[in-house]
Amino acid sequence: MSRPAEDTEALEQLLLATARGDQQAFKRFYDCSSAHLYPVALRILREEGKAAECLQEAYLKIWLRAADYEKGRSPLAWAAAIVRYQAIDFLRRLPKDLPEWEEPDWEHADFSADSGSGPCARERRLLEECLAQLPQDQRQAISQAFYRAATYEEVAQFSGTALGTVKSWIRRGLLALRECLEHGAA
Amino acid sequence: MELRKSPKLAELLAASYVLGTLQGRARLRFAQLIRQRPWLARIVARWEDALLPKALVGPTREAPAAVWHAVEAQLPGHVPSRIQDASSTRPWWRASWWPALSAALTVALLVVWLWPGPAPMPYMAVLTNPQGKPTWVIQANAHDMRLRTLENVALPRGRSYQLWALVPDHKPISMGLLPTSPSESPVLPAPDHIDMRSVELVAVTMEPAGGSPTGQPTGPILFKAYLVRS
Repeated sequence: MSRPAEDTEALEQLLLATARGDQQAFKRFYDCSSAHLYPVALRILREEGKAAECLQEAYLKIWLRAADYEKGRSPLAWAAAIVRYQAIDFLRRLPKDLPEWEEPDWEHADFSADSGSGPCARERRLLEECLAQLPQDQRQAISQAFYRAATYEEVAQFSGTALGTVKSWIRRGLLALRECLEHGAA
Repeated sequence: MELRKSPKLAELLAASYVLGTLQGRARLRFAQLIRQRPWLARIVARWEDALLPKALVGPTREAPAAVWHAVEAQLPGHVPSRIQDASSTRPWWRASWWPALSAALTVALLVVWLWPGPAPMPYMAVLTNPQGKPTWVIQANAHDMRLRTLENVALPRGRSYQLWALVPDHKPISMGLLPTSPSESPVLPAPDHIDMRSVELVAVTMEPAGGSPTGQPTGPILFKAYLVRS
């Protein structure tokens, strides 16, 4: 019974009410956001049971930290960050034998086909534009680290590249991305 | 090193934190810094706003119903839905179930009373067991720490779990032994010299039964959690 999360303003109001301890609002925020956030955990943990457990802890944190949410930020991106950090913590506690999954095509993993719709479409377009301006190796390394929630070592392993090179790709890529995002936002 | 004087480094650390490539102790330390330094939290927020929309692409998927039930069960003053849903068109005082409900409500009110809202106990931490299951919930204000046990905890014979409050630049401060069954939810007074608001982390060690003989942790830290303002 999840509802679409397109209405940023409504989600924002729900989060602000949650911060005041309104449990009804929190429940509605859950109903509107959980179907968007569950895949965030699932993509990283790749297993329903673990993703569900992760989501549960993440929503508890969302409840506890709702007062930290700043008006004007995307409520869904704010909550997705909490879910993602929780999933990363879970992932790094888990033994490394995660179930196999279908590897996305990293170079085209921008999902550009549907980037015109869905939540945060505008923000995503800007990010895609800026990512597109990066050299391919930097862009790919950042995408891999992001989608797989991979460490530098893991990205180095996937791409068969030296660790130092991967670190420098990602760091240089991130700094260039910051420049572009700021320029684009200006 | 003062991070504020190295904006480029701060930017990189924030980006790596959000991306996930910042790991291990550095990640924990950075997460702690974000809570203490609003200017750093703002940089992290900018990265989250920029990168996280990318995590939200693709098909949505319903979360299992159990997720909400588990979350709801941990909200303050949660009353089992059996009681909340009780409704009838007859006046409540005539209903045959009133004595039972009345007793249940008394229990529920007692629970609500024992579990105050966020205002009196604004600090909170959730300690999880090795499977990642929330096991103890801690609420605190400046003077007290309230503990709620959510899960039965297995403990080897002759051992106790001891709870420590960690304040920057102090030795660990013992908060007492942790209960191991959900029926036990003690309030632990903070030692006189400690303002609970200065506590950053709480940690649990396994000690000989009855607690550490030295007053300082003797076993390794088994669980820890940040005490966050809720």
